[in-house]
Amino acid sequence: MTRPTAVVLLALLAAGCQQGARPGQPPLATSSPEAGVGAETERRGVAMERTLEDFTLTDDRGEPFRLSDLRGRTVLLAFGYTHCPDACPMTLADLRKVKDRLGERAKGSAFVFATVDGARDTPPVLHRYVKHFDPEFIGLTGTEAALEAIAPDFGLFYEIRRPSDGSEAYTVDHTVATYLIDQAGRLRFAYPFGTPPEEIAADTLALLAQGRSGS
Amino acid sequence: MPRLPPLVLLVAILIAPAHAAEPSLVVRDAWVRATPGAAAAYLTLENRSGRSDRLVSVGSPVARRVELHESRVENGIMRMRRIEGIAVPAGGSVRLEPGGLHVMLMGLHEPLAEGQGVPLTLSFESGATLAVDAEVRAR
Repeated sequence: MTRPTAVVLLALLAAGCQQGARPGQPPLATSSPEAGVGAETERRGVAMERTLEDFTLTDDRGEPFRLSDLRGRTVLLAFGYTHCPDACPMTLADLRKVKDRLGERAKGSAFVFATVDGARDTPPVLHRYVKHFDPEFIGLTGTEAALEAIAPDFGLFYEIRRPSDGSEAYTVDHTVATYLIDQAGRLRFAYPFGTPPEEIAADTLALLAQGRSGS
Repeated sequence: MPRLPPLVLLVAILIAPAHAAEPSLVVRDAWVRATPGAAAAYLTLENRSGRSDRLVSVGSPVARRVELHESRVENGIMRMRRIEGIAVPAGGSVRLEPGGLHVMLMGLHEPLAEGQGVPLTLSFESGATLAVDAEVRAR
């Protein structure tokens, strides 16, 4: 089980990056008329730039899946679990809105939902779940050890909460950020829960445009 | 059960329709989000009376178990907890909406289909009950 300190680490990391992208890195457009994000809108996403360790999990077809398999595409990644009634469907519905906003350009982007509940979220369960939101969404699952390995990179924390009455239905507390990873596998933005899809779409489009211009 | 005097019965009959015409507790915008993994109901409760009340339980024939829950983000962690009741202030309203208060439908007997109506029975501390049909939405 990961420790809450991971969250604190991410918060510290994020605080250090809050001023935006690193020097020498062209700042990403934070607004575009197309995406409907006006200058008056307060940004929720935290810009950063860190190279991520590659990881291998199992996808919703039961095949091994590496983060590096998505090199060349932008990746929007969120963690959750399928028995989650409230927050996770919101996150996935928002990711669908982001995808809709990208339109044709969504081809250059992958949308990934990684479960923190590998015990219940087997590939078939995940498959039904992610496809409910979009036929192209990818579900990832793995052992606790596999999740442990990638937790530090994302400040991931999760904890199973069993009901006191001993019933079998448990919930999982978990970090709820959505992460935007660029075409080179670097983590570029972390968005807190409830960030408007317009903002995430605008950042994704900016990365896709940079990718096209060959930077 | 003691027999009621005819006059009391008559008064009760006369009062009942008046209450029905102006209910003190009203449910609005009830809907259910159903995914292949879980389902939650959302609604707005309005209390038009001068007396505060509390939603204490919800029942539904579609689920084995129904609980009141609250989602809350603390330090970037989404924590969901069962709660004992939801206060509805006198002359005020409370919204059960995504990311906050919700009715969790656990152990569905059958998968819910988009557009389907889910019967919910809301029970309040005052003894009042309200029945509502919540429409299922997929996302």
